[in-house]
Amino acid sequence: MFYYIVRRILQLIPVVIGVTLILFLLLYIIPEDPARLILQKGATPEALANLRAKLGIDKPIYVQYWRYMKNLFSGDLGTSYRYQRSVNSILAEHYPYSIKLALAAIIIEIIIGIFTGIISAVKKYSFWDMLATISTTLLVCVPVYWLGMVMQVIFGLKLGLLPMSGYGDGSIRYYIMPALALASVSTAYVARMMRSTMLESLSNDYIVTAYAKGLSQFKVIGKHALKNALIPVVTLIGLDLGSIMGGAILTETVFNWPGVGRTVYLAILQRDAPVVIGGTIVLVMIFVIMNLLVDILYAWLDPRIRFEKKEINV
Amino acid sequence: MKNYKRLIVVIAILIVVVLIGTMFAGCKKTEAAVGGDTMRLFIVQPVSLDPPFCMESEGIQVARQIWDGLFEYDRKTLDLIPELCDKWEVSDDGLVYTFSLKKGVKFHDGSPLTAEDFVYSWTRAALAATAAPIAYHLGPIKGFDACQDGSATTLEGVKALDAQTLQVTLSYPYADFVTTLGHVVFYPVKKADIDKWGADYTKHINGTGPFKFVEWVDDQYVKLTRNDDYYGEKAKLDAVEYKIFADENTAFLEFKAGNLEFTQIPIGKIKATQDDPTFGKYCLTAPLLAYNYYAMSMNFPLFADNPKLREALNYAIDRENICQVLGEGVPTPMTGFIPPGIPGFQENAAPYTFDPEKAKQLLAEAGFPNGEGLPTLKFGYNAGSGHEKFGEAIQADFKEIGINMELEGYEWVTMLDKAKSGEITFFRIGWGADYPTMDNFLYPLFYSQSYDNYLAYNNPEVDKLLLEARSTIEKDERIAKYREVEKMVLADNVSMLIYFYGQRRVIQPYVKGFILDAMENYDLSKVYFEK
Repeated sequence: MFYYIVRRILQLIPVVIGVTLILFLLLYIIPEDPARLILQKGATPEALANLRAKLGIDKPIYVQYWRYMKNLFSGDLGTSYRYQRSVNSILAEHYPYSIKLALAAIIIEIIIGIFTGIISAVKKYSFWDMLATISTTLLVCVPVYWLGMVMQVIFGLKLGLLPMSGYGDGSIRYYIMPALALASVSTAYVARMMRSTMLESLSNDYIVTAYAKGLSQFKVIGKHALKNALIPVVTLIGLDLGSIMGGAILTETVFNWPGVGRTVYLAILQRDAPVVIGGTIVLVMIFVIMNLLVDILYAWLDPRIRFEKKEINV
Repeated sequence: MKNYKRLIVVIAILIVVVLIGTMFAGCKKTEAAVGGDTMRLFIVQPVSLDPPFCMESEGIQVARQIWDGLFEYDRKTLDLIPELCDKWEVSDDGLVYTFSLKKGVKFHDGSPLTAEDFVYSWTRAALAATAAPIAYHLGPIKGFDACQDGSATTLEGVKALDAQTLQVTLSYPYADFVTTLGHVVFYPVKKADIDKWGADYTKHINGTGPFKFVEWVDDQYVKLTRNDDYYGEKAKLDAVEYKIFADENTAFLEFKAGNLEFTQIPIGKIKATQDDPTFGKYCLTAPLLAYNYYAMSMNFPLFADNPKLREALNYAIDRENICQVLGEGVPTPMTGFIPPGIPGFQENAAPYTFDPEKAKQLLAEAGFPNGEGLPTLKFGYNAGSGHEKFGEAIQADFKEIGINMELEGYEWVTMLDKAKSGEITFFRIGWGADYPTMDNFLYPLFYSQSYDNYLAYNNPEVDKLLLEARSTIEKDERIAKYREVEKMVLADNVSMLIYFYGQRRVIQPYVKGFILDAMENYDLSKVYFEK
């Protein structure tokens, strides 16, 4: 297991090189000059040259890339073109908010998604199953932006139950609406997957045997069906943390959540390459680490799954 | 069962971690406001609060509360008011200005403000190494070009004669120079602060104004508190909190819930807000010192050789309809190149009305009867900024008189670069005031050598008169010359005038003493609440 983890961490190096290279090339081929974007008025050739020199974009792309990579491996993600501040400090200010919101969303996804999926499968074709199916279909279809605005108007403006936006003092009430909005689509997917894997699990012979042994429904579902049905769901949830963090732009915008998604999105619009690349590298690392954790969790949940060669061959 | 329990343990740990994280480990706890009345205002994330980097209105709004400059503008009349300056003199040749500073002015850290602080701040802003995006405002000061090309490390034209006297020498006579000194780029910073904080100074601001900087948390807020050691009249508010929003719709909901005192009205909600029984009377929709126009480049022979065609286009469009229907009544038809509010503004300087018949006649005189023989006009605009609908309305107006127009969306900078190189010859562009002077609307746009002259407009007579006006010290005489320039430019029909931008702001009814000027600046030190 130890070697597996080391190997997976080492795999990060080519991933990071690949990501930086692709992003560098993509941002370089866009004809918009970041210096020109900043200098809206009075963009004299001298002013443009001074700014390009300060931003380090006056050099050929390979020089820029080499310099970036050198700094990157010493932990320096560069300086934002637009804000002219360290990217490390910009990301350090924003990532904690995104991680916390993503974790809150994942908890909602786990609790509501799994519970709904189980009820739906156990009470197949019942009123509750239909309600769950309709709700999950709606959640998948409804744009997060719209859902967020509706929640803000109802629970914030009309009922005054929850704060409408922002991080405030960081208490749980500030998390409820953005986390629910962010988790909405993923929760629906988890519920659907849970339902189908549970149904598959419930149709196995050992379930019939368990019932024949006289076990209660609670025990059959909880002890025999659920643990087998959970494995693909755990994979989905684990991978979702990365997607939720990367895809939280709309939620962060509607709820004015000071996360990194919005920061990177604005940086893309402003051609602020160091922020885009830095933000993406951190996201990729989170994604890879989450993948690794899911794999480890997998093995922990299911003793049949092991990563050492000899055990796989057994 | 054992593995199932393990999953429950994992979930439980996650829940506990998040609960603890959310409740006790807030990334940045909101600090309590400084008691009493706190004015809460909507802004989007500022780029910087450091004066030479305040390149957009958000940073400027905040900086104006934290600093005083040598001069300020009267919020109602936009007249120039001395602020940190007691008196000032200008030499007979209009080149040397001497400013006497007010005594007893201190930075927020308690250190005294001296003329050396201005010398340092202006030199810093002008130097190539700083690469300040708004350094061009210091352009008229002697030695600016040498600072920009890297051949000088001091700004030759700025000297501290003593602790209270600042002398500024210009490269050429520029009568509006004093008016430009109300701009934020001229605010004084302390050398010791810049040496200490470097690029992070923007989060450790030390100003001289009625409010002190407390904290700026990215994408959340900028907090200010009253400066009780202020040399002038102390602010009535105890504190100011700029709440940062990415989406004006969210900010507007917060305003309606009573969580903001000042915000922007989102597009599409202006009429409804104006009709709202609570907020209707408190909508601020006055014209701004900014406009939107469609440039016809003199690089394009079709436009350069056909003044009648250029004139025809100006009579073909229904500006009133555009402003009322598409702009929800906020913008107003553009009637000249000097917006209302600028000293020297001429009512209806341009003769254009919506007159399709006259447009047709002019089109025929230009050699294109009913648009025959006229190639399709390719119109460039910056896509995704709401300009499409205006372009489409004008496209429809043109169609009525037989002119075909094709809309081509570009990225903003791509469009500017293509316009500069002559690749795009008919395009949408805008201009807003840096300071309330006629020069600020005429010299950059129409002086042949100006880098902001995207029209490739080159009229030697206009150039000559502009330079004359700039060096005319006597105000009325200067204004008369600028008015003449405006008439000459309008007579050349080089642009299609579209609209003057308007404000779309709203304040809470209990906010008193708040005056929003035509550059969207305000002075919060005069504001108080009456609840």
